[in-house]
Amino acid sequence: MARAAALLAMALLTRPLAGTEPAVTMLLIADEGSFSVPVVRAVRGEGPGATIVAVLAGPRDRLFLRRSSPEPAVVLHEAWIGRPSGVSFTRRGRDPVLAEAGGRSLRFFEADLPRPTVRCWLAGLVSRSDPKLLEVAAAIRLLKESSGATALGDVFYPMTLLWDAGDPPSIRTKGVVTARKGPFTGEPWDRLVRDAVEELGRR
Amino acid sequence: MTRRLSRTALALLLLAGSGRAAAGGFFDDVPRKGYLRDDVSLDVLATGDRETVVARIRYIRLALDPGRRDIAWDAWPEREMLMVERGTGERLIFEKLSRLAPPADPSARQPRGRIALEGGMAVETFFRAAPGGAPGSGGGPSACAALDALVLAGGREIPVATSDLDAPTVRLGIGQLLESLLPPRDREVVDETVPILYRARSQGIPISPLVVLDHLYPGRTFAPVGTNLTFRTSAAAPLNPADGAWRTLTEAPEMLPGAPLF
Repeated sequence: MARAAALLAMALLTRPLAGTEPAVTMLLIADEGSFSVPVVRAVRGEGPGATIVAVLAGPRDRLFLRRSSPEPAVVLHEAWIGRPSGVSFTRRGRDPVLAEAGGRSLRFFEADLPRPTVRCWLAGLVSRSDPKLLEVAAAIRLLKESSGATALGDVFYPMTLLWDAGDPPSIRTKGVVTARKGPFTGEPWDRLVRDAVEELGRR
Repeated sequence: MTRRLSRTALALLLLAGSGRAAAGGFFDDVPRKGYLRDDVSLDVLATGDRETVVARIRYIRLALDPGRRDIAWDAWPEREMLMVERGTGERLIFEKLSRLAPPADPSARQPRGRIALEGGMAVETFFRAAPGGAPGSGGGPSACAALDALVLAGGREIPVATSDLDAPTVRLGIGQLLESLLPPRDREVVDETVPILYRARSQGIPISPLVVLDHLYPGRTFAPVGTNLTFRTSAAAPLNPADGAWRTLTEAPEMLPGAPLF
């Protein structure tokens, strides 16, 4: 368990590499028979201006997470399933975070996230446009807790906002959750890497 | 980024669609007949100008007839109406309902407070005693099930926990709702009228209907009225909620003097 947690943290924590070529890491998270989740993370740039994309392949859908800095001191987090739209969160200094989904938006202060009202509003915003994101966020929390990981990378910020807003996840882990670090080849890995790198270049 | 932010200025998080249609209007379950318990009218004038009326105010407190006699008179539901007709012609009303019979389902929402402006725009608050489904009409996410209040305006609704009204996010969200729905002039009318009512309190006008401001403008301090005001007992016919001009603002009850014999 401890090794799995260490690997998960190593692969998912934000640690951009220098250079213009994207740095790609792969991780296979699996329990003892009920699920396995391939994760690909691609990073371009370093420091606060880095762009990071993580793609998680679930049984039916793929979750995309993208963290970028469109301008200095502004961080844009996007999360979607399948095709881009989903939900985005814009962090700008001490301003309230701007959440946008489906043509609607909400500004919130991070300190208010534990408030039931704010959780309700976030859930309402996301459930109108992509309710699956709430389910996936709850599942990722389960995955994190099952593997013993203490923190996820900054690219997972949207999931950390949403995993308390929805219902508990319908999936259950079976046995010990392990995280095996790549590289891996073949499908679905090649496609996930291609998609992650492609999303890195999107503006 | 600019495009994103300008789009944001136009779009708010507003949950569910029309609450009024699906879950009933503010007055749907409110008794229609009431007995006058308090009735005060005042004219507000600028100090030194005995001719120009700044505003006319009428406060009414009604004991609403619940239609049954096993409820003590003192425990009858109450409706308080604070009507204001400004010298500039605008009309608005603040209302408060209390002691309504508890609903069979304690998670059902009940009307509590209301501001209505001429032209038909009203902002209303609803509360419920116990959690259940989301308090809005459309059910909504389960994360909303524990919230006890609902702000409804223009067919849009925002579930709120009253314990969260001190949270900056909640204040910001409700403020954005009001800003997006109320025309600037309506907002000005509210801003200008509330301080007058606070001043009128010292002249015997009860302002308990203004409790709705705690939910619609949580934490807000209204700027004091800029001019010196004087008050006098109104000599004209009192403002009448059944008059034509007021009909777009409220649902007028049948108002009877005294108390029922039976």
